[in-house]
Amino acid sequence: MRFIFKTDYMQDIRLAKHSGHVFWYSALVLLLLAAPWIVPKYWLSQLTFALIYAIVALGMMLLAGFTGQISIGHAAFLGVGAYTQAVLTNLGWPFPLALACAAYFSAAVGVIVGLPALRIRGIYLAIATLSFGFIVEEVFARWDKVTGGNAGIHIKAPEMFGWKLSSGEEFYFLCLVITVACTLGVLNLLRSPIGRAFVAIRDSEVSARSMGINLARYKTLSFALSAALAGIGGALYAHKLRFISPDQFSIVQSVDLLLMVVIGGLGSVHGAFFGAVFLIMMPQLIAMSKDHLPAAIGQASGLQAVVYGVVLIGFVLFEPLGIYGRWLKIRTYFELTPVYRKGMFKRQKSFQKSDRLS
Amino acid sequence: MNQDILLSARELSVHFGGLMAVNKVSFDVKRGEVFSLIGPNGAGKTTVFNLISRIYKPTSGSISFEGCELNALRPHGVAGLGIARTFQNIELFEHATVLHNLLVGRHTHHDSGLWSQLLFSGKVRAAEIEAREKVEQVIDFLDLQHHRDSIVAGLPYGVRKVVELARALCTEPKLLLLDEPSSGLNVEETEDMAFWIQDIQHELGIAVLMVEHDMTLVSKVSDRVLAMSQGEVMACGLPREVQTHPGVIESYMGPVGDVSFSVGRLRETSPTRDEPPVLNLLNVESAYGPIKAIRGVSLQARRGEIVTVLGSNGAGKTTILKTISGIIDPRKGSISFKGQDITACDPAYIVQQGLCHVPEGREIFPLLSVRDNLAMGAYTRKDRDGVAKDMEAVYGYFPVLKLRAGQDAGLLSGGQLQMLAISRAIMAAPELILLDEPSLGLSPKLTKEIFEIVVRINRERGTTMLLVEQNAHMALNAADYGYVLENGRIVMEDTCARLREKEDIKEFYLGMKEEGVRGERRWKKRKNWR
Repeated sequence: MRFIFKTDYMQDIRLAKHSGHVFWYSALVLLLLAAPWIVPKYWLSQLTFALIYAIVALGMMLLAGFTGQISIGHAAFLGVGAYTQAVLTNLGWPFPLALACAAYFSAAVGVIVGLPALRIRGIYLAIATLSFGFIVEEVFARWDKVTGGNAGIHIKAPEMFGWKLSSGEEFYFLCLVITVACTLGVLNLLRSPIGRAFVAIRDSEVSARSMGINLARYKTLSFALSAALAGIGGALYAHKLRFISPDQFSIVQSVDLLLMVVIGGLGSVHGAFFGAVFLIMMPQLIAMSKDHLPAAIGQASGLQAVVYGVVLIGFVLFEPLGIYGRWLKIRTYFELTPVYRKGMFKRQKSFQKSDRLS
Repeated sequence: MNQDILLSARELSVHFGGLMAVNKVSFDVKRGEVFSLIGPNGAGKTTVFNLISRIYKPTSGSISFEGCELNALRPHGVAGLGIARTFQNIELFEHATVLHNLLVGRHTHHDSGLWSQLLFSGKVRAAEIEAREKVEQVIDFLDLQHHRDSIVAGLPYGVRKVVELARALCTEPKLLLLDEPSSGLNVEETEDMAFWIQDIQHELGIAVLMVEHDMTLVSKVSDRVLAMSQGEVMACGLPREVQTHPGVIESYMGPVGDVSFSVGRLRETSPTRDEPPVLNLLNVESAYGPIKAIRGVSLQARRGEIVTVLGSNGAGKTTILKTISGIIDPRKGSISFKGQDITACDPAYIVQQGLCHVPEGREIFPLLSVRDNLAMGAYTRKDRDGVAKDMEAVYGYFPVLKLRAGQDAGLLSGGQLQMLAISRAIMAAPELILLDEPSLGLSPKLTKEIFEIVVRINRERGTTMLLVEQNAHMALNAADYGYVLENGRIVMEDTCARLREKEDIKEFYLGMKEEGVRGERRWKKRKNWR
C-alpha cells in the first residue's frame, strides 16, 4: 500500500501523481514503441485499430462520461472525419493539413448537433443524435460526386514532408503519436477549468449555472471536442482501411462506440482505452473460440451480436463502472492484502440514490 | 443611488399559472449585513432566491445589484457579478471530490482559452495554483481539511451543507444567498453555522441574504429580518420587532416556546418496557462500502410506543431506518418484527408485514394526484372498505389533502408533502411507521402541527412509531422512549421524561445550557457521555 505525503500543490496538479505512475506508464510506452519488433504483423494491425478506436473513445468519454451527454450517432462524426480525410488526401493535401481539416470539420458538425442538446436531455437527446446519424449516413450514400456513393471511395497512403508512410509499422507509429497527443490533451483539459465545468454540468446543471458556468457554451464545446476526436479517429480509420463506404458509419458502428465507453467504464480515461481494446479483441476471441464450439453455435450468423449483448447486459448489471471499475477492485485487492476487507466496493441498491430529492 | 445598498428588489412579482408565488415584494440588502427572510412554507422565500439567481424570470418588477439590472443578465452571468448561493436540497457535484467542487467555484476567475488549457500552459498552471491557494483558505476557514479528497456522494448531510457553503465562498462573492443553512442540522451544528455566518460577515465582509426557519439562528445572526406570507411582505425590521409582530406570530411561529401537545400525555394504558417488543434490533451493523455507518445497534420498540433516535448528522440515524425497512442489508446482527426475523428481507415483503417507512426526502410520486398517491400507499391491501375508511381518516387528520385531492402531488408545498408522505404510510395500515425527519424544512408552527397529528395517530390508531428527528425538543416531548446515537453507536437510552433532564442532552440537543463550553468560539468538545 502506498502512502503519499503531500507537501506541494503541484503534486495534485501533476499528471503522474507518484513514482509508481511514472514507472508503469513509461513501461507501457516503451512496450508500445517496441511492439513492431515483438508482435506479429496481424496483431500489430489490430493494435493500430485499438489505438484509433481509443482516440474515438476518448471523445465519447469526454461527452458521455464527463459531460453526461449521450450520443447514439457518433459514427457520423467518425464518417465526416474519414470522408474529409479521404477527399482532401486524394486532392493531394499533405497529411497534417488534411487531418486538421478533418478534425475542424467534424467539430463544426458537432457544434450543430450540440445545439439541440441545450434544450433536450436524456432519452430525447439520444433520439436526436440517432436520427442525425441516419441523416449523415444517407448524405454519404447520396452525395456520390464527392463521396463516391454506395460504391465507396479509395484513399491514398498518408504523406507528409515528402515522406510516404506506406508500411504498417510506419502507420502504427503515426497512430501512436497522435493517440498519445490526444490523451495528453484530454488529461490536460480534465485538470483545467473546462474539464471541471464539464463534470459540474454532468452532476448538477442548476448549480453549475449558479457557479457562473455558461451551459450553452460548455455543452457545445463538449460536443465539438468529442466530434473533433472522432474526426481524427475517422481520418486514421480511413487511412488504415484504405477504402471507406457509407455502411461502415451506420447505426451499428455508433452503438459499438457507445458500448465501448460503457464497457470500458464511464467517467475515466482508462475506461476509454480498456473499451477500445475490448472492442478490437472481442471479435478475435469469438473467431478463435468458434472452432472449439459445436457447429450449431459456432457457425450461427448472429454469434458476435449475441455475445456483445450478453457482455453489455452483464456489465450494466454487475459492474456499472466497466472494466476500469473491475481493474480498480483487483488493484486495491493486491495493494491491501492481507488487510483487504470483503465488501469494500459493495454497491447500494439503486433506489438508494434518490435520497433527499423533494 | 445609495452607496450602502448592495441589492435592491422593487415591486417583484411572479406567477406560476394562476398561482401568485411572489406579489410586489420590495426590499434592500445593505453592504455587509445579514438579512433574513422568514415565513411559513409556501410563502415564496425560495422563489425570491430563484428570482435573484435568475432561475425564474419575474412577471414584473426589477432587481438591481450595485446598480446593475439582474433581469437583463443570462442565468450564468449572475455569478460573475459576485452573487453566490446555496440550495435548500444541496446541489453539489456528487461524483467529484470536495476539492473539485470547490475549484468549480473559482470558475468565473479563470480566463484562459481552450488551446492553453489543452496544452496546460504555464499561465494555466499558475492560475491553477492560485485557485488552489484561494480554495485552501476557504477549506481552512470552514475546517474542511479532513474531507478535502473525499467524494461528495459519501459524505454525511451536515458536511455536505458546509461544502456547499465553501463552494459558494470560493467564488469570492459580495452577496451570499443561503437557502435554509440550518435545515437538517442539529443544535450543535446549527451553532457552528451561526459562527460561520458571523465570521463571513465580520472577517470577509460579505453580505448574507438567507432563508431560515430556525428562529434562534435568525435572531442571533441577522441584522434585519423580512417576514413573508403568501408571497407578500408582512413585516420588515430588526429581528426582535419582527418576532413580536402579531401577524408573524400567528401565521409562522405559533405560540412561542410551547412544545406540549394538546392531545397530551394522556394515555390510559402506558406501554411498559416489559412487554415483548414489536421491533427488535440486535447488534446490527450496516456499512456503505468501506464506511461503517452503524455498529452494534440494539434497539427495541414496544407496541403503541413512540420511540425516538437522537443524534448528530452522520451519526447513522437514517441508516438504522433504512436497515430496518430493508433498503440496506445489514452486515451483522438481526432484526425481528412481531417475532419474525426480517433481516435482509426484500423491502416490498417488509411493507406487507405492516412496517412502513416515511423517508427523509418524502419521496412522493410527483406526477400522480394526491388521491392516487394515497391509493399507492394501500397497494398491498385487499380490503376495499378498510382502504376507503382509512382514506377518510387521513382526510380527517389532514383536511388540506382533501382540498387538493385531485391535484398533482408535485405541486404541493413542503409541509403538504410531508403530510402526504405520512398519510401514504398510514394508508398501508401499518403497525409500525418509521418516520425520518418529519420536520425537515418546515416552519415552527407547521412542525408543531405535524407532531400533534403524529402523536394523535399514535394514540388513536395505536400505531407504533420509530422517529428520527433533529428537533430534539419536539421529539422528546412526543416520544415515550429515546435512544441517543453517536458515530453509529447507541450511547444512551432512557424514557424521554428522564432524557430531558440529563445534562448532556440539555447541552448538546436542546441547547438549554448557557454555561460550559457554549458561547465559546467554534466550540468543539469531545463528548463524554455520563
